Amino acid sequence: MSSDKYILGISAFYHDAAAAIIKNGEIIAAAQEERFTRVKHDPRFPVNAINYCLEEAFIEADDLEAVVFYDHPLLTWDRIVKNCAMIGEESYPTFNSALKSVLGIKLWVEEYTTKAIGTLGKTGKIIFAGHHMSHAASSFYPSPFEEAAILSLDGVGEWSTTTLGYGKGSDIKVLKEINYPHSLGLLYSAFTYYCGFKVNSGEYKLMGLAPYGKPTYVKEIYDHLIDVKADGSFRLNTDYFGYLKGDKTTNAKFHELFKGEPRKPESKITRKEMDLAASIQVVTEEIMIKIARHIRELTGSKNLCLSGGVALNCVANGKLEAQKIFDNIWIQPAAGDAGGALGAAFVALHLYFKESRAPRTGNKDSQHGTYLGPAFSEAEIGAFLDRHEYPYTKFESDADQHTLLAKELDSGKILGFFSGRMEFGPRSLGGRSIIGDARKTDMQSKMNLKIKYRESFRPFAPAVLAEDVSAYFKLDTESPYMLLVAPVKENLRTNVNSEEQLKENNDDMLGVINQARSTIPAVTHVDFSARIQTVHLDTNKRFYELLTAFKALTGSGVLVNTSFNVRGEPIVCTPKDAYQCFMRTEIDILVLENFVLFKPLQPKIDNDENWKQQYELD
Amino acid sequence: MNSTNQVDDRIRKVFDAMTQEVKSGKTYFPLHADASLSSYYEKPQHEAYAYFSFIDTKDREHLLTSFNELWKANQELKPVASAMCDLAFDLREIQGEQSTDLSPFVYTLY
Repeated sequence: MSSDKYILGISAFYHDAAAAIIKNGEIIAAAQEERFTRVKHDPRFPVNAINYCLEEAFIEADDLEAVVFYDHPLLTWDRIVKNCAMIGEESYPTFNSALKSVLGIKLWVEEYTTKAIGTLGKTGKIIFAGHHMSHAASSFYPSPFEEAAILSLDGVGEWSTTTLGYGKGSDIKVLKEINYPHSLGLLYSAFTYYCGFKVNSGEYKLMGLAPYGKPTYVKEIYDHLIDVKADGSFRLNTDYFGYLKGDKTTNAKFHELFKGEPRKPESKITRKEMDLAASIQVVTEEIMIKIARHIRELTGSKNLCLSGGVALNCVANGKLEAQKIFDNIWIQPAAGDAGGALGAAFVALHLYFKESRAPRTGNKDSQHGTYLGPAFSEAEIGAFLDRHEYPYTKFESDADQHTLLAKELDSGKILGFFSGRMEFGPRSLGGRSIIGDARKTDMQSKMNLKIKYRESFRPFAPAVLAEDVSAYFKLDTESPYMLLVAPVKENLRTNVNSEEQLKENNDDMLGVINQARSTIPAVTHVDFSARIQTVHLDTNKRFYELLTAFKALTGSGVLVNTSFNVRGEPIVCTPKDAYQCFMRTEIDILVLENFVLFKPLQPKIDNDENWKQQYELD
Repeated sequence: MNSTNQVDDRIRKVFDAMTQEVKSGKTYFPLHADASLSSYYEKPQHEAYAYFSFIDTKDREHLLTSFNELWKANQELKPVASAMCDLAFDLREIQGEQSTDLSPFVYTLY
């Protein structure tokens, strides 16, 4: 009988349901449910992701030692009840919906699990890991650190919104917390909503909007919305927020403070939204830096592990990194709730079963580049293409393939790049990516208009050979998960003054966005910043070798890397998803491992005109 | 089998009983800044649940025990725990398919 300990972690019912499986502390697989169901941010119980994890581990469900859920539904219910009891009658609609949702669905994790896989593992009962403990565990246990300060920041999980902890060896201790309704995540989300973006997905847009604005509302935010102590702890003034009543994130008093109703989604973005975005970004960064200084002092550790939805604010992460408060920072790439599935599994292993954590050696994490999802073999891809009679070229030599692709990129072609295991977390990192030449001035608008079908004020992210990162960016550390933003080096910049351009264009961002601001314009934001992914030979050989071939041909070791999907669609998972996205967009070439497909050679897809209606805009 | 209306009526009754029990003006958490404090950090408030824990949903009585444990310091909420347990078990029976809809406020309450 095997003594291997397999533990399944699950997150579900809120947003981005996911499953993860670990074997004796090694991460075997992790994936978000949305990738299988093709429903963006799918919150439903992750039956498909669970089954994938079991398949990847080559085990039956009966082999599971335990099944762990990332959140305690009764503690969440406790918060809802107390919130509604305090608010009274106005909160009744919220109470009604929440009762049906929490007591009618979320409480019954055991039942959903049994229906899905027929067992609760050898423990015979679901282990409920604390929400923030799941976040903390997801950042500490896979990190390269033997010991570290641990910071988890999100909207809210159960009661907590901010958790400060310390991890050493196999143990994690929670030291301090800030509880609901005082939340940096909810504050940021309130501005996301007010500026006309979707809460839970539009935060990224608000962050991308910030560099266009000036932080002219910082004083109003500090004077009216949030009180911050010297140690970074904070309280919101709940008079300005609607979420206690479950109505809206903001309320009339908030609107009065900022002199107007929330911007209507998809309407023109004005100077006001740009300045609000810049302001809340500054406040977020200042608070995160203060908290980081405090936890550094509190724990004495030189290492920091970060997680929770706020840790996806890569601009703030970049500022934190630049402060050098810590010698080393590691951020869980699936920092939001999906990553809670992974953390929950680790909580069970190390805190419930009290299994030791393998000593850390070197500076490598155990996240495997976060390539933790499904991969497809040459035989599977070949069979798919042959079955549908899609014309392709199959390369026996990787070097020949990379040489050809480098030439195509240099000529301005855009590639759908499908390689190895799918990424776990919200970012595409060369497993399921759309890539292009970062030097081309029209690359950004081409990718936006003809492939993503959006007109965006956000630039794309650069993928750069790890060893070249300092040649292009003011960054002296690895950023394998695209979670750090840093400036493009001065010597690569052009003389463009975005502020003047904005004025000349009457604050129309779209007149400014496509200006070349550096020798790698497609990845340079208006403030000369870039959201960097360093590419590493040991975690994504094919992508690394393609970049190397491109550099050998052109002298440039930077490519544009954006997620392989269209707006509102989950990132592609299978060769079929990839082919469909390839054919529905103006991607020129599809790379499925060592198969290369050229658009002009592909048969036309009939009766597919209405596909855009399939996806709700994000 | 309970109809949706019957369930809504029962939820209404639980809500009314809950707000009756919780005396007007009771606060469970601060709503504003406090200049007298030097820090807003707190010690972990729910340590029993912070790391890992269990919920026994085997039957109504076991679930009620979990509720009572949760609210051992909140006597005012205990009277509604029993009705909530009943609703939980009944809702389990009548809940339809999970929705793919995401509330714009999922962060907060749902």
